[in-house]
Amino acid sequence: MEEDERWKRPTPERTQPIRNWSTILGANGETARAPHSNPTPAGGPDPVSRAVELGYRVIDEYIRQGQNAARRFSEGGMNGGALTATWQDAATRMAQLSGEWMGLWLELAQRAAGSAGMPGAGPAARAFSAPFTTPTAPPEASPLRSGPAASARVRLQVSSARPTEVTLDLRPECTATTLVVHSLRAVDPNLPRISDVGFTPAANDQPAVLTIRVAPEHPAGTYSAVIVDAKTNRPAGTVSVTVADHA
Amino acid sequence: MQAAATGDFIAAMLDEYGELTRVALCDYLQPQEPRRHLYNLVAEYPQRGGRMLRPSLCIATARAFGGSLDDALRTAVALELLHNAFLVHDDVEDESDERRGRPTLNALHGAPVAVNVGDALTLMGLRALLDNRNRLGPWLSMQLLEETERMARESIEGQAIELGWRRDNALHLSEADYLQMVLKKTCWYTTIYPSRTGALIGTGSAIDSARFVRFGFFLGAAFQIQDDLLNLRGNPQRYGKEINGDIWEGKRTLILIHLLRVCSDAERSWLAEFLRQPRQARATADVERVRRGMD
Repeated sequence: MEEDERWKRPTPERTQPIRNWSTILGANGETARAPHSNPTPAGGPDPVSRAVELGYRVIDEYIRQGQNAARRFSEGGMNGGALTATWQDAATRMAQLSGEWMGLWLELAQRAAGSAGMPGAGPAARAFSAPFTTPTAPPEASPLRSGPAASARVRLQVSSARPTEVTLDLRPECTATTLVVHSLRAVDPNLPRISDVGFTPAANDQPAVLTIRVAPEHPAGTYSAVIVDAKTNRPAGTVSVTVADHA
Repeated sequence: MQAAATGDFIAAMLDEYGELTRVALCDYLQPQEPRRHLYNLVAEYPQRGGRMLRPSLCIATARAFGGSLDDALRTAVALELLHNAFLVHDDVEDESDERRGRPTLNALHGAPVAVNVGDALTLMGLRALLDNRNRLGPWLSMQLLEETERMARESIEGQAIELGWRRDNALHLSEADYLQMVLKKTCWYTTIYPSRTGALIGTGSAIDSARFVRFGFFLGAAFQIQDDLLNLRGNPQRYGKEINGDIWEGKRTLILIHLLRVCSDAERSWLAEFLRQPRQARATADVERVRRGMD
């Protein structure tokens, strides 16, 4: 290079940001894949894609919770009375949620211990021990697993021969009397759907029941579906089921 | 070729910012009394070196958003002091023996002295943040303090999650549980906070905070997973921490969580018993058995 020659930047590979509708909102599932990544192999998503997808789920849920908290603050304004009411409301709802989930775990644990004939598997001991819902183990308490809002109590009934994790995310304003869910689908279109799934509406002070049955031969993977409010025909939440690949 | 050159440039730039932080750090580590049980020890971890990743990221982000190096320097110093405070407390909580190639402060001087040193480092970090007021003004300085309070809270919550797993001997954890713990325990103070504060300083406060959380989460999670792997097969001299230390401490790393998920019922029962024991009761042969299982 001549001494008086000016240094120049190399020609950039791109001159504009990558704008992709599928990732603009920090989407998950198929949309979480990077624009230039390889297509999913036929055997299911590769570990990297699964990790990125899981990462988006974790961070989007975290951000959503933060935004909800911020919204509660802004709706309550900055006066002490409103804030107190907001916190009292939140505490009441937390207590309700805890009670509902505790009841659910105990019920599942009792059923699991009974059906599998597990000696010494006390319900309270088992209730917090497993991340997946299985015939022999109820779900573990996890902050990532969204419980239903106080206005829509939902009981889960999961039947699966293998470890299965269920994430239910319902919008706070939805009601449990008119919820509908169709088959759960995986990102990979070649994987069969989980079609044995349905809501029993809430009635007589009993919560709605979401029943999910996973066939023993069903391929491992994550399957999701939108929950629709039949009254308004609008989305009311999502349900996601992850079936592990080992017994 | 071009990627390698870019990588070299970034590494050199981060090294330079790290060195400038190290120099500025000396302002806060002046020898004074009581030396023997406090100020000499306060300087111990910072003087042992370290990558200066966090302050470098803070300065680099500030400069990328139009700020000057001097604008970001006090915040970078605060970050490094707080990081060292976390390390001291972390070593006590984990009962670690080695840090940056030498015995930990708790191993050398006992837990009570080490905890006090950690407290002192935390306060020094706050001092550096307060010193921002003269250069950045009260409003932006208060913003940075609020960011720091959030970061510290998230980190403490993440640490609580991990300590709880070990205390309760949690065996059935998912990858999502791990990522949420890492988001709070590692990402907030390693990548989210440095990039957010850097952008705040560079722009004078106009940032979309959610984007930085998302960016910092993925960067920090990658950093933590690599750190988990280096703990198993890193170069002891370069890594600076005890190889297999995470197994000795029963840390729920991504690798251990995976092992617990895929191993046989008999192996899981054995692992449960191994993890239930306190660190002192674990045998080298058992640690090696866990290590082999991870391969």
